[in-house]
Amino acid sequence: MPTVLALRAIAKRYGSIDALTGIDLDVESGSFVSLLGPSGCGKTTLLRIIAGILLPDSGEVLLSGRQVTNDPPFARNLSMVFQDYALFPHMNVFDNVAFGIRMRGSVEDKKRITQRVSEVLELVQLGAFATRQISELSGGQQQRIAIARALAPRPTLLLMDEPLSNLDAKVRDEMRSELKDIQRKAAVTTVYVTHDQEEALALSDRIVVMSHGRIAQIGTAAEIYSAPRDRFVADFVGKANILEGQLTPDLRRIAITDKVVLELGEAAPGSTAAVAIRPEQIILSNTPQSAANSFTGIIQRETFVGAMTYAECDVCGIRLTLLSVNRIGNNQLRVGLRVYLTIPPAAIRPLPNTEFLTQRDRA
Amino acid sequence: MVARSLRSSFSIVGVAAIVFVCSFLVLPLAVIIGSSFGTDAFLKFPPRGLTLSWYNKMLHLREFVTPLGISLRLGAIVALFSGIAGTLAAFALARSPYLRRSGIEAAFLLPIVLPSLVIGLSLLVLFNLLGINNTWITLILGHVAVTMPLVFQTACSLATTLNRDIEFAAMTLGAPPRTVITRIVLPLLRPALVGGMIMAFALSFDEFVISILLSQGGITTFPVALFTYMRFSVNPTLAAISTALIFGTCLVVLVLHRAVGLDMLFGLKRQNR
Amino acid sequence: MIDASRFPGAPRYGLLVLPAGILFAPFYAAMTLIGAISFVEYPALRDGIINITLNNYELALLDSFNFEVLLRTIRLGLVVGALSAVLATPMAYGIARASRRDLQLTLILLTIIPFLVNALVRVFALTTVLGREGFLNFVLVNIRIVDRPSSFLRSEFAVVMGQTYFVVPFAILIITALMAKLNENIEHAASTLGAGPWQVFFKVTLPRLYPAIFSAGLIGYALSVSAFVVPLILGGDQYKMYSNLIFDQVAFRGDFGRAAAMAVVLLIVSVALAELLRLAVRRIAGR
Repeated sequence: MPTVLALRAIAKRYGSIDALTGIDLDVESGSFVSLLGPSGCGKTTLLRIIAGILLPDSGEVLLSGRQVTNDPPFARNLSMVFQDYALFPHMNVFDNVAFGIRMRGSVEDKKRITQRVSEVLELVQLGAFATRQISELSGGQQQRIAIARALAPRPTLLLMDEPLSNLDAKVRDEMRSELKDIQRKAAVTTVYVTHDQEEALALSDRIVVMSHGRIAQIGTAAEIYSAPRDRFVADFVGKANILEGQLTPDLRRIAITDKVVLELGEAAPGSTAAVAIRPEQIILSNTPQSAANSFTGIIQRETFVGAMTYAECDVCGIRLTLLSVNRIGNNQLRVGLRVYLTIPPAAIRPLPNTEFLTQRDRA
Repeated sequence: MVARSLRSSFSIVGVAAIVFVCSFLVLPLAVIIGSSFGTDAFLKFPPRGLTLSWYNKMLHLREFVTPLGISLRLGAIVALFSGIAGTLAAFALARSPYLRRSGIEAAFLLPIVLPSLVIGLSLLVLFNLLGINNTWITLILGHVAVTMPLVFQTACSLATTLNRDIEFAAMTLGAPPRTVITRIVLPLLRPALVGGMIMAFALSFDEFVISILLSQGGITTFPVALFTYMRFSVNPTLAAISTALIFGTCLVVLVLHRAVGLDMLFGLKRQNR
Repeated sequence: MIDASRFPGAPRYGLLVLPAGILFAPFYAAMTLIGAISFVEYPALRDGIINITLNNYELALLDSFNFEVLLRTIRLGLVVGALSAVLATPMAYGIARASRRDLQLTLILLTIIPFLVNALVRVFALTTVLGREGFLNFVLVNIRIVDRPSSFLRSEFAVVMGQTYFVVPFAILIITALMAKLNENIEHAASTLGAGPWQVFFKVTLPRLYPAIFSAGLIGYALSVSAFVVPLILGGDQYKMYSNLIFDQVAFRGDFGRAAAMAVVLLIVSVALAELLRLAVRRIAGR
C-alpha cells in the first residue's frame, strides 16, 4: 500500500525544551492512525508540523512521496479539523463547507460545487443544514460540519486535533462510532490526535504512543494493549499492575518478593526488571486454587464503576488491582473479602528496566 | 451593591455619593439644554418662558454651514484612515510576538498621553519648516495622530479574542495569506473596525486644539467656528446648537454600543466569538 | 498553547502595520523636531541661520511671569487630580459592582456621554452654570447664602471646576477598568466572615483600589496640566495656564523656538513627572 505521509527525523525545540525528537513515521493510504499521549507529549506539535502551520527545526515531511517540509499549508493537499471546530462564524454552513473547494478544488468540483457540498453533508448526516448559520448549531453538529468542510476538497490527508474533546460525554460516544464510519466511507487517510486512550483504541488501525516528544510504541490496538513495550505504555493505555522484581537465572520466573514468585509463560528477555498484569486477566475464585501463580489476598478497597468493580487487593504485602464484571450471580468484591486469585503465566508481560523505550516502526 | 441589606448606612452613603457625582456630570448638560428654551436674549437658567425660536434661528445660521461640511468630510476621511490602519495594526500585533517585542505598541499608544497642544504645535512646526501649506493634509495627519491611538487600543483588546484556529483552518483549506486576511480576518474584525471608525469620527469632529493650531491656512472646522461664535455672540442660539450636539453625541454612543458594546471599553464583559 | 512561530504561508504582519506606521511618521518626525527647535533661535532660523541657544528655556522657566503661571498650573493640576480621583471612586464602585445590568448601563451612559460631548459645548455649559445668570447663582440666591448673584467665571475656582468636569470621566474609566479585574469573591468572603459593609470597604476593597485611584489621580493631574480649552474660556486673561501661554507664543509672536521650549517643559511637567511619581510610588510600595 502506498505511503501517504512520511516523517523523517522530525525535531522541534522551544527554548530549552525538546518538544519533539527523532520522530519517524509512515502512514499508509486509507489508514486511521492515532497519535496518543498525555498533555505535553508533543502530539499536537507534530500534527501542526504535518499541517504546515508550524516549522520543524530539522527533519522532513513527505506527502505522497513529495517533500513538503517548507511548503505553506495552502500548498499541501490536506485538511485539518480542530478541537474548537474553528468554523467561520460569519459564513453559513454551505459557505463553510464550500470554502476548501473554492480555494483548491478541481475544476470539475468547482463546477459541481453544490452537488459536492450536498454529498459531504449527507456523509455527516446533516444534509438539510446547508442554509443554517453556525450560531444555530449544537456542538456535535458543528463538529460534523467541520469534518464535512475538511472532506469537501478531497484531501489526500485528514488531520484531526482532539476533535471530540469539547463535546459532552454522550455526544462524544455517538460521534466516535460515526467518525469511524465517515472515515471508512470517505476512504481518506487520517492522522488523529487524542489523549483519550479509549478513543484511540476504538478508532485506530494503528496507534502511535508518544511521551515527552518521542514515540514510545507503534502498533495496532491489540498490540499496544496486550504487548506494551515499556512501563509508560503499559501504564498509560488501560490499567495495569506493574510489579518490579528479579528475574531468576533460568529466565522463566520472576521474584517480586521472597514470598511472591511468578511463573512466566515463556523465557523473558534478560533485561526484564518488571512485569505488567492487566486486572481483567487475573482469575478470581472463592476457593483456593492449585494452578501456577495462585495466591490469596484480602480486598482493601473497592471502586464501583457501573458495569464493573475494581478492587485493590493485598497479596502478601503486594497491592494488586482486580476487576470483576457486575453480573448477577458473580460474587461482589467487597472490602474485607478474602479472594483466591490466579495469574495465568501467559498474561504476564515482561517490561525492561527503563521507564521508557523509543521505537521506530513501519506503521 | 455588595451589601444585601439595602438600608445599611454604607449603601445610603454610597448611593448618595453616586447620585452626587451623577448630578455633577449631568448638571451642566441639563442646564444648557434648559437655557435653549428661554425667552430671554441672554443665557439664563432656569429659563423664563419657553420658546423654540432659538432652534429656528440656529437652522438659519450661515456661518456654520461650510465648517460643518468641512468637519463632516474631515471626520469621514480621518475615520477611514484611523479605523483601517489602527485595526490592521492591532491585528498584526495580536498575531506576531516579534512585533510585540519591538515596542511598536508603546509607540502607537504614545499620543494618548501627550497634550494635543504639543502634538498640534509640533506638526505645525514641521509643516512650516517643510513649507507644506496644504491644510487638508496637515489637518488629516493631525487628527489621525490623536484618533488612531484610541482606535488601536480598543482594537487591540478585541483582536486578541479572535480565534487563531479559524485562520489556521482557512490556511489548511487552501487559502493564501491575502485571502485569509480579506475573506476571514477582516469580516471577523468588522465590529472592531466599525466601532473604531465611529470613535475616530466622533473624536475628529470634536477636535478643537489641533484644528485651531493648524487652521492658519484658512480652513475652519466646526469646533473652531463654534469657538469664534462663542467669543462674540453669546446667546441662546448657542445653547440650541449645543443641545443639538449633545443629542448627536447620545446617538453616537448608542450606535457605538450596538456595534462594539460599551462594556468592552470598560473591560467589564468578555465577549467570546 | 503553541507558540506563534513564523511559517511559510503566514500573513506578513509587518505589512499590516505599515499603513499605521506611515500615518504616524510625520507625528514622530514632528516630535523630534520640536525637541531640536527648542534649542534654536527661531527668528534667526527663518533667515537661515542656526543659532543654538538656551534662551528659549531660560524664558520658558525663569521668566517671572511664566514661572508663576507654571506654578499655578502645577498647583491646580494636583488639586484637580485629587478631586477627580475622589469623585470618580464611588461611580467606579457603582459601575463595577452594580447588581443589575440596566443600572450598570445607565451609570456607564452617564459617564460616557459627557465624555464624548464636544469640549466647547461642555465649557459653554459650564459658563451657564457658573455665570451671573447661571444655575449656581440661582441656587445660592434662593437658599439665601448670598444676596446678589456674582459671576464665578474668570477665576481659579472656575478653572478647577471645569477641569475636574473634564477629567472625572477619564478617572471613572480607569478605576472601573482596574476594579473590574479585582476578584469580587474576596469581598463576599469577607462579608460572610462577619465584616460589615464599611469594614469590607475600608479593609478589603479600598486597599486593593489604591493603585487604581492613584493612577487616576496621576492621569487627572497630567490632563489638567495640559488642558487648553478650559482655562482659555473659564479662566480669562487673568488666570492663564501654561498651555495658553504656549498658544500665545505661536499665535501672537510666531516664535516657535520659545513655544517649543515651553512645550518641552510642559511635557516634562505633565507626563514625565506623572510617570516618575508612578514609578516612585511603585518602588516605595514594594511591588
